[in-house]
Amino acid sequence: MLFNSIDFAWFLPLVFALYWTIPGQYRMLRNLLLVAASYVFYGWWDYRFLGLLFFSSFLDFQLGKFLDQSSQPQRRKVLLWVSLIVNLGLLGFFKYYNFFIGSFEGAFSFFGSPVQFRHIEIILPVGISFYTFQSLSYTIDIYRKQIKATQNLTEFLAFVSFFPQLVAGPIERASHLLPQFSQSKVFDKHLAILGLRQILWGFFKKLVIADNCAEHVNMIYQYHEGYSGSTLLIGAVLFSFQIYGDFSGYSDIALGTSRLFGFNLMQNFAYPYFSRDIAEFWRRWHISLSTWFRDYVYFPLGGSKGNLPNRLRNTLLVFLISGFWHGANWTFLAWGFLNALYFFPLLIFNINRSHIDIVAKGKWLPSVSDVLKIILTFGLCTIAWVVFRAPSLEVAFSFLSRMFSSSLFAQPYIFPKTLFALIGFLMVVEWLGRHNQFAIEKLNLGYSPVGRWVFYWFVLFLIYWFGNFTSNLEFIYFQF
Amino acid sequence: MRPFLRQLFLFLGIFAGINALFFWLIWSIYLKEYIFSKEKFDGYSYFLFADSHGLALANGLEKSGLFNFSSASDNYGDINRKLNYVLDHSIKPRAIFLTADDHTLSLYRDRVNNFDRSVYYAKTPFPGIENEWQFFLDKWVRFFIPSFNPKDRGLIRLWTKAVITGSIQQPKYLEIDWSKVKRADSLSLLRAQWQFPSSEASETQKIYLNHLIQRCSNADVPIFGIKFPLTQGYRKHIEGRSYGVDQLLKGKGLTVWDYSQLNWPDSLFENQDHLNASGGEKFRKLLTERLDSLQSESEN
Repeated sequence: MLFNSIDFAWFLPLVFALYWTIPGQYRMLRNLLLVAASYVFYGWWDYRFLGLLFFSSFLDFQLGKFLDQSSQPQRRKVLLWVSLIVNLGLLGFFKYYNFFIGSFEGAFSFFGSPVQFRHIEIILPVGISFYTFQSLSYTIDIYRKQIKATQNLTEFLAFVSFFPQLVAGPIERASHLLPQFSQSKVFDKHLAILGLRQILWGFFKKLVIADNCAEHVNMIYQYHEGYSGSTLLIGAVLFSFQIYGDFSGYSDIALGTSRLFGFNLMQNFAYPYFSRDIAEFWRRWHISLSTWFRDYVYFPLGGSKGNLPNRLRNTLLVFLISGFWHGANWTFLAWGFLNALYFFPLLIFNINRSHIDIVAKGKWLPSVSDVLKIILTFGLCTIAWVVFRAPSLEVAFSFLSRMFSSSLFAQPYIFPKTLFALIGFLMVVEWLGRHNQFAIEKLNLGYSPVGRWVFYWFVLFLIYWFGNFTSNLEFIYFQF
Repeated sequence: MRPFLRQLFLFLGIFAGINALFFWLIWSIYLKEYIFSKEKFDGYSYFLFADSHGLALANGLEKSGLFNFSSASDNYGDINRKLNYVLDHSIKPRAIFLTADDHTLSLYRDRVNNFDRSVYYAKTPFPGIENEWQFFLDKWVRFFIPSFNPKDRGLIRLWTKAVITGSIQQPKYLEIDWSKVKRADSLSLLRAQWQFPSSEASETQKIYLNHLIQRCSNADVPIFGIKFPLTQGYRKHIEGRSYGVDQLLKGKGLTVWDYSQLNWPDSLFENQDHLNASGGEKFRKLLTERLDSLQSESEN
């Protein structure tokens, strides 16, 4: 089920009403309702994969219990490996089987002995990368003795399948989300209002920014060979805003929806396009995935300990794996590699943590130096997004080489003025709200309810007037 | 919870109020001309179901007992819904007249149609084409809540722009001086390409058409196919191109009145394949004569 569908418009109020109708002391019943609702939400897309979701959850639930009970290191290690192999095996099969087969065939034919393996038509279960990582982190954390295994299957099923974040994150940790299912929740008006506000902002980002950008981006990428460098630059910039609006919009709706049920999910985006270097960007973009890789891949590899070559190697590996996580295509690997390259100078000069704080904290405007750094970082990200968006490396190279040709200074063929004005509005609001969890968390309109309501209705008007409802576009990250 | 619900209902109340306003607007500018209550059909023995080609006839055939139920962009799915509505309300026409133009099974009719409006007349979805849930959303949600209907949003935007720029005009048939129309030949070609985008006919439209024929056969209502007049320039470009509704109808033993080969002057046309008011008047006379003779035949 898509957030931007009529289906969700009835689903959410229904589940909300049922959830809060159940008295607080029947926590189990509420959790059961959430599990049922989440399975309906997921099954709405394709019910055949509900079994897979249940199997993956149930297996990790049982393995978690066994891990908790066991004190033998060897046995614990085996249990962890079972979890890793099954979870990553399922992910690998559904997501990477044909990619590896194709790559093997390509490699064999390159060395002059072509072979033919069997290709299978595989439907990628929506959100498999997200819930697999979430479920996996649970068993790893128990193995590391950072958390205790839950004895309550319903709570665990609710944790893995919690519908707001099931298909595109944020990838939650058991230590943060699981205990919230054990609490008796009392309706919190302020939390719910905050949730609705975040949902509103998420829809603005998705329907107005992302889906309108998508119309132009799709056309520019499809016919990129016929466009001037300046038009391709417009396409590249629009894609940067499309993916931001799409994914952070989804996260906002997910976080907002969770708040309606009294749950707090982790912040997934923290104004990444105001970053002053690529390290800061990666602390602010898809935070739940970045921190997942940091905790479960980067640190075990040695992290920032050791000598410089080791640190460079670890960083490169993490970015390559992160790229590969996004999909079975060489473009994603190249995108990861490019980001690692951007990162290297910061590591070499040991300045990767020089921008920890919010940009221009407590000020209205950034300094000139900050502005230049922000533009540079955005430019680097935009180039990397070209590789990410392109269907193949050939298209990415062709796109970039045309973009940086002399026609870069020609009059662009496509220049959507209204859309750029809307992006300008987005960036201004995000800038003003950058100290908060999400841009309109605290509207700086004093305590006047009239001012707040005027703003809400204005955003609603923008969604209604400029939102793209015709394309019915899925969220980009559903495919991952 | 209560203060939250109070605020929520206040918001929903305002939202409902705005939607009511939008619905009133959409009704006035878009739905009113399409939606008829069953009382409107009283006293009619014949019904004409066509797309924009039928519009030039306006309501001038009422005296002959014919209700012109044509609408621009209607496809056979829309016509099906309208026909079912007529038959379901105990109205048994003596005959129905159905567009049988060469282009009506075109693939573009799968996209360009009035499904958002004709859903008003539908009781059930077409088996195998739409599912119940989508049908429910179309009939009860998108129809009555313009905020959830992208097409309505587009209409409201156009209307608002027109109000702001003062460009709202009543529709009227154009009388074109074709001698002043430049590149009339290329316009005919473009029109032909638009109407006939591929050599294959739409399977969906065929399903609708067969459904329609079956329904009339079950209700013992004869169907007459009508092919509307076309400009000679346009005919030249569609030579040999037809998705063959006329043949399909004839194959089922039904009659087709073919007026597409009339060599009428361009001055009777609004564009390549649509009659203007004068053309409509002339065509109406032709049809009235034939209809009257049909009526007297059936009375005898």
